[in-house]
Amino acid sequence: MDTSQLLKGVLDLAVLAVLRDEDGYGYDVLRRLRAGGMGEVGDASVYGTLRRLYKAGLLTSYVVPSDEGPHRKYYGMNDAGRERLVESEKAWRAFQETLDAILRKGAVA
Amino acid sequence: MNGTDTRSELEDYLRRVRVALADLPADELAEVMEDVEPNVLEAFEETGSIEELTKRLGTPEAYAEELRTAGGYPPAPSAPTRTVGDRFSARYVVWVTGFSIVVGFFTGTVGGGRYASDRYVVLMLCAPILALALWLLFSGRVRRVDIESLREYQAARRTGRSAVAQLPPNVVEYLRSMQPAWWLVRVVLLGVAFIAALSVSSEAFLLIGLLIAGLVWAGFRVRQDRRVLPVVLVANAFAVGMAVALLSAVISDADSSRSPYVTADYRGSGLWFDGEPLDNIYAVDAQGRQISKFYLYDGTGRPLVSRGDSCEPSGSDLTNEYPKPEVDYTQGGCTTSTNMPVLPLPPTAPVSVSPSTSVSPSTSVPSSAPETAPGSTPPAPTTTG
Repeated sequence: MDTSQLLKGVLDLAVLAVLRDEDGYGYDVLRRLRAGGMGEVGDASVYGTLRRLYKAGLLTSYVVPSDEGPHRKYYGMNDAGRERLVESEKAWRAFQETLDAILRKGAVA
Repeated sequence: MNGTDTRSELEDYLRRVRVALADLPADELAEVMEDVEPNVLEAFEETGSIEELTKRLGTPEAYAEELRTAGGYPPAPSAPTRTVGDRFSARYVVWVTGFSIVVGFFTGTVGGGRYASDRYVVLMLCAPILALALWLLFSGRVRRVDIESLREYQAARRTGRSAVAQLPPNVVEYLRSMQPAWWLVRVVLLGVAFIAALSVSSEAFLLIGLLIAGLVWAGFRVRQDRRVLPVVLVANAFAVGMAVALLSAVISDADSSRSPYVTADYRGSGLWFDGEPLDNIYAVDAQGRQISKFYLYDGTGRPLVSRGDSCEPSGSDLTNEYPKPEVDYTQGGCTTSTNMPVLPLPPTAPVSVSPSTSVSPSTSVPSSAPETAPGSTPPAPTTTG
């Protein structure tokens, strides 16, 4: 089944999560998500999400010059981002339990 | 597929993404492209071809649409409305930039000269019209898409592309790899111009100050923000013009640095009297008759050689035989003569001789020239008839 619809809702959370411990530029974020098993996430979705989180004040950004090719724009977490990540994680776990319960009940019934 | 094709295909992909997002505010678009460019480049490196890249990222338009949705940007306007005003303004920007580039180049070529102050005037006049062009760009009245849709822009771009394609790819790659060095060269060149302008005029001084400031400011931004490109292009054209002028000055300097040897060869064997070079030397005996041929030496026995005129293109040899032949064209054709052009009075009476009288080659040791003792009388005639 196509999981892209499911991915969309949780992409914010996933992006914040992979930036929690280490800053990264767009492609780093993409690689970390892929390495974590989110193979179907589109490149452009990740970049759009990064911009949106940045504009919402949850991420910081800084440019690192590169000898070859364009400069790399790194994104990192700020305090607001960390707070949001904690909240979202709680919300996600609660939602996951609820959904699990519903699915189990449906299976039993 | 060669490197230039691939590069232009990649640029084309990026350009289409940019066009599809053209309705975003310019600053935001610049930020987005700053993320997108490395993404597309790296994805291309991994996939290896533009077809595979498109398979993975989607068409540029689909990519832009996905980014738009994920980024929470407003949906694309259904049909971009172009008005005549937009096109006119875009055209203004392109032509003014092109004109300023040409003026910048020529001002650069004459900028180092001593009397250059009035030559800066034209570039000074360009500054306000270029400033208006920049204002059109920065206020969003002219956007990148407007310019890219102009026929003359596309033609100029194609011409530039095909000119680059004429060069061997490894040369292009090498020049590209020197990019940081070019940046430094430009700043140094403009610095040289700045110092030169200090002594020329206050306008030139101000203008070059502006160019340096513009280049440093825009140079850092231009990768992300193409709106500053006109400033960079004009400053570059000026720097290239200066480089051409400097290079030709160096070459002509090298020429003139060779010439002292040439003149030393020529003049050093010449004869000087009282600080003035002598054309020739004639001698007469006590009766005022010309001595038709004589030889000069200094006190150490060194022959006082010089070159005379000759009808031969190679010139005459260096000899100490005098008088030197004088070339005469009045007889129809070239003839030489050693006859004295003026007939002096017979030097029978004592003549006062200036103390500084000397006949010496300029290369000789000063005291080695034969000197006539001050106030000495001419030698008494020993022979008569």
